Amino acid sequence: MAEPGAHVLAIRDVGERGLLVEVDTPASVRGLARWVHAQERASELEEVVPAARTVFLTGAAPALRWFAAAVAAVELPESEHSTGRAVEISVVYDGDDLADVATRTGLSVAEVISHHRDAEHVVGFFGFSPGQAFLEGVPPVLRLPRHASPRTRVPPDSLGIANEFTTIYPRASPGGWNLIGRSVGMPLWDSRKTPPNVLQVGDRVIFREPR
Amino acid sequence: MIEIVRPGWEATVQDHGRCGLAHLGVPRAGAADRRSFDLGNRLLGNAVGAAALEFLLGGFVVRFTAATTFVITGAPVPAALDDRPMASDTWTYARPGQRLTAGPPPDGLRTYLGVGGGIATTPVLGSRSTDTLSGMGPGRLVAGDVLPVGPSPRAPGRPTDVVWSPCRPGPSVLRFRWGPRHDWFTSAAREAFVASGWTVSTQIDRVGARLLGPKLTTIDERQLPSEGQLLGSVQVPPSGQPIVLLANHAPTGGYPVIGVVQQADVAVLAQLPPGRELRFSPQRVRR
Repeated sequence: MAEPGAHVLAIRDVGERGLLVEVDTPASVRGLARWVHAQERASELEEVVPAARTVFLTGAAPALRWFAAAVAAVELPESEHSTGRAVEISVVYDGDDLADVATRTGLSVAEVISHHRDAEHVVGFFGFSPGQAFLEGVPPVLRLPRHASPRTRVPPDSLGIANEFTTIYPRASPGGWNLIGRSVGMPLWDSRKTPPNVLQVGDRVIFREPR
Repeated sequence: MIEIVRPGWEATVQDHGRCGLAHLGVPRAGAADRRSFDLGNRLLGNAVGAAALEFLLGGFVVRFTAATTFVITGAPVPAALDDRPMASDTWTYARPGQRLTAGPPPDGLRTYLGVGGGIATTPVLGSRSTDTLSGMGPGRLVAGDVLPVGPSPRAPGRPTDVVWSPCRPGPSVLRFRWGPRHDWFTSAAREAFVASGWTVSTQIDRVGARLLGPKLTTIDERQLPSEGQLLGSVQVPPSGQPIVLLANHAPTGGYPVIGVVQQADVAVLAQLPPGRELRFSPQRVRR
């Protein structure tokens, strides 16, 4: 294990072809992922996978060794944490759990909606299902855990919240998140397109209610 | 073209899978037993990674609508072209209208039918693989499906002396490296992981193989935030019974990984049927 830098908590080998870098905050995850992509040797990596508190790199051993040493010494400038892009997503707040979220947080439904809509949301990482983005920025008053037992089917385009994250389900799937609404605008994923994704890690997302 | 007459338990189109999209939540997918899959393309003189058919436990029948070179690799199946018995790991021709029938393999799970020129269905996100976890690419094959075949390679039938047998009797030994989360486990759990024999359960698919053995316990009940996963990662859910991630695993997961199976040995595990015994052998890390 290499000596970690300021925002880097640990650097761990994963088998022969992986390197897992743990960082202190979601913002550092985004900053580190963007830093990795900016390196010349990023072309030698197969995958760069940001998650909640880690960035996972895969590739051949020489490239991983280089990144393990470089990451240990890296300083992440705050400006690297976002793409600088803002993407508007049209949403209708009418999810099946909206009233329940209001009850559990002690807020009115209108307050739940305004707290969520007016918060600053940033794409942190993707996962669970192709194109499923996880956005940081749920304000502390709205932070609730996932359902203890997940729904067997969450409809596509559902907007769900859990802890500090918001997610939008790109397709029908099982899911345990608190459903507060649905995306009604452009599709955020199209496998026929290159790239298939609309959102990128580090994008700011603005939720708008259509009039 | 190839017509699927009977797909058997599960037949899919596979190649090397979707690369470079894990950060968008797209599983890699691709052939579960990569070595047998690659051998097929080498024998046919195909491009590396040309798509082939992967089928599970025989019961598989196809009809060639045109003259086609083909090869069977992977789990050894009793096979016949019309009534003529066929050997595995050696290419041959089918005439238009001939049927290939594959029975259940005496050992192993997954067999590959490779064709000269490869299966030429339309790629999705750079791959023709069926993604059985998230539904990218074509669905599982059904009777009546007709699959296009690419142009034949100029020099088919390259001889090779590297035919590998994916199925061997006796307990299999999977080489692995500790971590990245071995420090989440009790020392008793780490000892048990390498000291005991493990049995392949009936819960196996292209995503992962659940193993039966001693319960592996973590030091406390902390939860791990999801993190990136490598092929061969040995995840341990709260049940304490490990799951080894195979070709179609999700790109991220939230169970601690006690160790990662060497990439070459994942192909061995992908062929082990329920009830088979295996052991884990730790490998030292060179830096």
